[in-house]
Amino acid sequence: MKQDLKRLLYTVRPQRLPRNLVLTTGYVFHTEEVYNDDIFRRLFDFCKGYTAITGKQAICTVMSGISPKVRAGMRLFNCSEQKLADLYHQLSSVATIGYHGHFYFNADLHQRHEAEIRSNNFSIVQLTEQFSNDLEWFKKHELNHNDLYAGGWWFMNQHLLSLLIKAGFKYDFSFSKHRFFLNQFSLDFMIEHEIKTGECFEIEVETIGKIREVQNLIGSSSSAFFEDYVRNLKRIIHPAHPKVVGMFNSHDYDLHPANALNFFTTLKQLPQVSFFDAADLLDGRLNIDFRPTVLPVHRLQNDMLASVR
Amino acid sequence: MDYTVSIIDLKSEGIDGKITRLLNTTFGLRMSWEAIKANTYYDNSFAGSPSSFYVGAFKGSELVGFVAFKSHDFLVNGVVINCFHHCFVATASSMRGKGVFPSLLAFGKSHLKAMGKIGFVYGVPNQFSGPVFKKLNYKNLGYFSKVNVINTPILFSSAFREWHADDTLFSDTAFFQNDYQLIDAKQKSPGSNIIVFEDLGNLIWGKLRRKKKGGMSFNYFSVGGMIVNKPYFFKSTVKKLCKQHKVLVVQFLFHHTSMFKKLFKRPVLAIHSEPLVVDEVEISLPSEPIFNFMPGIKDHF
Ligand SMILES: [Zn+2]
Repeated sequence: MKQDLKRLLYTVRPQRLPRNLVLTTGYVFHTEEVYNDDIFRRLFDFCKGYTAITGKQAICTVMSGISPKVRAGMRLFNCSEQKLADLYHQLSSVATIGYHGHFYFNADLHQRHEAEIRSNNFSIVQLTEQFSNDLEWFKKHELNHNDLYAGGWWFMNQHLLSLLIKAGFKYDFSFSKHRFFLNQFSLDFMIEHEIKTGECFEIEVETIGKIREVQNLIGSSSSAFFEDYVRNLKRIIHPAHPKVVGMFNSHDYDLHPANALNFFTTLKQLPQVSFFDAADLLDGRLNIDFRPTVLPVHRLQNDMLASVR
Repeated sequence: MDYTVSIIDLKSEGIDGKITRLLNTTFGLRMSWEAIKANTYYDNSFAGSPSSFYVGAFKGSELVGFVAFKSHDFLVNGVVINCFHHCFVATASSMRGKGVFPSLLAFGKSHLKAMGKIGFVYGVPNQFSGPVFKKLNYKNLGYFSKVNVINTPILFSSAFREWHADDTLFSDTAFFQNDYQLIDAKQKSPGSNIIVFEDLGNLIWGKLRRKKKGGMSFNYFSVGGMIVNKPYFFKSTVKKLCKQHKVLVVQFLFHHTSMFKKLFKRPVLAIHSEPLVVDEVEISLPSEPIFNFMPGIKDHF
């Protein structure tokens, strides 16, 4: 019924991408539940299908096998750490692997919402420890994260940026202007630097180093209507910045493969749309500007706190 | 001075009874030792921060003065700052006017200084103890602001400020209460009825109460704290909370410097509430500190 109404609505009021829009796009997954064989198979097949349509590889940022959320799922599905790592290795034959981090005040109590680290409420100690444990897990299982990152719950701030830069990460896909993917640090930063939707930028954290940002545009997981994606996209596009570079994203567990592939088939046919993947980014093949921005080092410190640290 | 002040050894024989008697006599209450301890003592092992402690004034073996220093961690830009809330301050009536109260606080503060790395001591004094803090050079940082959200069709929406695409709710200089720690502490209290409500990355926790007014009785939700990551959806989060718990009134109280005031149209300064008073131990507060504090930081919430 709802679907019929929508179809009718879009017939009466068609949704088209703005004529002057030039869209350069890629796909990033927040991969969290591949210990479930069904989800793994669906994601694996989708990634193959995505490449067949676009000629490019999707990026699957994955969670480490010591993340409490993943461990709980692994127990349920009887999946060992080695098996999880093997699945990620298999996935790397059809997608580019990256790192997806979720952090907690107390990993043992990860199922409590108040223990989730999402924005202002965070602790550097826990963040740093869990970040390095995750990366250690990647190393132990010889998994390459290709210096690509996407934040769990879209969590991002100056400390996480510093950790990423210090660990050699080159690209991050955690910033977004979409209301579902907003993070208050990221939004604050983009507003301060007047960064428009689909504008790539490079953040230099003073004295630490640089990382490049490709924004997330919209989710692409379930809808059967191309018009839904167009409508969502139009909501965040800035008229003064019609040259949009950014990612579509999805979780592995809420992906609707057929609908998503249909979406990309339609998108591929539009002359104003082109696709890129991690290789294009990492090899510098893509001709896009990353606007330089600076995050002053005092944002990482606080004189008031020197005596209590 | 005809009394001595010291840290109370909780293992000493009969001390629980002495504290219970002194507090109940002073406040005219009938609290159990378990309830007193749950409200005043938190071991804080989660963050590796120091435990709470009690300071007592003794006349011989008789306990004639008491104050609890409850350990709390606040967060500023990801740094955990261990602070102490002095609460349940009581002086035996026979000892009034002998400077017991300031002696207890001074002793507590020197103990904290010796511990090292302690941010500040804070209290939320009532009108009777307020003047004492002034004499002790505490900084009075002012009142809390109040918003009562009434869940009726017209009144509900009028409580909230319209949230625009370029509004943000971020600070790397504000003091945040550690809601994870507070919920943990409150849930350990006997008979605790803390509700934690999460929606799209917004979290509101507090207590559901039943209120009577004008012959009508209704559900009233008193917010102890919140983590707002998606301010755009905040209004709908509150609406969902009301729906799920059949709430007519949600009361938000936050320190007047809190950034939460941006979420509401007309926060009112609650001048009849207790102000926040602070005594710096190791840190020097900036000239205009931001305290994102809600009633959860108070001992009696
Ligand atoms: Zn995630």
